Amino acid sequence: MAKIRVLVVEDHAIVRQGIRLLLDVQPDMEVAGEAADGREAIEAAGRLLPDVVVMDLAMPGLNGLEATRAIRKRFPNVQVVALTVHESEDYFFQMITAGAAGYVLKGADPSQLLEAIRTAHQGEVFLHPPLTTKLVRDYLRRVGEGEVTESYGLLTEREREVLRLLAEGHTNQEIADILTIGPSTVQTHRAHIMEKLRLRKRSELMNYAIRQGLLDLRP
Amino acid sequence: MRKDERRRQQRPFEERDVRLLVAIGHQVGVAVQNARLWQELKEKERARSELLEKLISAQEEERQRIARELHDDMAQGLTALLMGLARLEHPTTGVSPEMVGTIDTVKQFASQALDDTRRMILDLRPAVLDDLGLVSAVRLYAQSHLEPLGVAFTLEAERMHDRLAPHLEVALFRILQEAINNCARHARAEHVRVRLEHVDGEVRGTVEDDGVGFDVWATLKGKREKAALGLLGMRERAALIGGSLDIESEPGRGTRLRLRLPLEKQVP
Ligand SMILES: Nc1ncnc2c1ncn2[C@@H]1O[C@H](COP(=O)(O)OP(=O)(O)O)[C@@H](O)[C@H]1O
Ligand SMILES: [Mg+2]
Repeated sequence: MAKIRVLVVEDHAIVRQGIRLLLDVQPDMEVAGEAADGREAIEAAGRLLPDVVVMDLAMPGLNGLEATRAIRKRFPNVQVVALTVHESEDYFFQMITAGAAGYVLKGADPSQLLEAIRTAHQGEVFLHPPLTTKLVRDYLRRVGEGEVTESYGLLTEREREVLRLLAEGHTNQEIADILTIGPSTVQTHRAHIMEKLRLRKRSELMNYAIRQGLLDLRP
Repeated sequence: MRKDERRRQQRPFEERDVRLLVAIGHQVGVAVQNARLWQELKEKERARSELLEKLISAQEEERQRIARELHDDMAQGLTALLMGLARLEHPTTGVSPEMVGTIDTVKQFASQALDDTRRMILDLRPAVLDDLGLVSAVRLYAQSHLEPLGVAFTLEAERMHDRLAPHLEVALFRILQEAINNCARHARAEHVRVRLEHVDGEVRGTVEDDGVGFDVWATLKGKREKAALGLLGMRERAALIGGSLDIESEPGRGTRLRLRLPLEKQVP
């Protein structure tokens, strides 16, 4: 199997070296290149077309947020995983809306970064676990306050419940147990949700839930 | 009539007139003295405010510098250390199983040190304040200081999309930071609510808790052993930027702080 080609974007040389140390021993990854700021990152992303970019947020000149936006727009097949000291959920929301497929905190166990790179490569989203909790909580609050939008309004009460459980990462069987209904009924609800929201995969469903939680939430 | 006037001017001062003039002279003297003292006082007050402002901005610069160094050197170094340790752990490096346990422990030390560094940066000068503004900074600060204590926290922000001048954002953040710290340290509250809004040309901030409350008058008038430096400092900082702070509290009734900052009068 081809290795996941990673572009490392980080203004601190010491962290670039650290990431290299970590990625070099992974059998399924290789460092395709490095960049030290946002502008270099966009250029390198276009030249190398990596599978995944590991992106620092705070950088001199063009920062990680703007670089992510540009890369996702110009090279939609290139995924971005944010790696940052910043734990603020506001940065996190901005990165996800800019198109990042992952958000990992520096200081978290490095296995999270590896998992995020693999998950992003699959076209799915990896989030620093405490942020996932926050996200679901925010999303539910918005639903609770009736701040629902677009197609979400088409869903029945039951379908929304199923959506919430799916977004929290429960399997069909777990949802069936929680709602005391049959797994095939869950499957039916799920199909209806996907159809009403015009989604194809579970990852899209997750993304949708994220976006629902995001809409108008931030200034 | 002209004759009268001339006669009056020419009349010599009698004893009574002299006494009156002396009395008037005294009054004038006292008034002049008062005016001069008042002027001096105002002058001193102005000098004091200026000095305070200088001190505060020097302190802010220093805090920002230290926060930046912690972020650029300390945090990045620890990140690299963690990554290096994770590489050692990897089976392809031929590490022995008992070493893996040790490496994992050391990794946790580094993680912990990075968490501490993050907390220091947050207290000194959160980058989110400069990057994203007051609302984001207050949200992060309150979450990190209240949620670990099990205090529920809500933040409402209305029409706060536009950024304020940096020195105002910093001043407002410092005031709210102290208010949140007080909630964390003294209130024993279940719930803290922060509200920020931009209305009628002013920024209004409210910090409310449902905790134990306190006797505001006695605390501010120094009836207790220790001056209320936190509360007085908040007031002072609000006044320096042309704002005001109102503290409402009673033992057993929670506490509400109201901050107002008119924006029109601000010099850009
Ligand atoms: N939110 C609050 N709830 C209860 N008591 C408070 C609160 N804020 C302030 N206080 C009381 O007012 C006193 C003075 O506060 P402050 O001036 O900030 O000083 P400090 O926090 O250093 O004690 C505190 O010691 C506390 O007794
Ligand atoms: Mg205090």
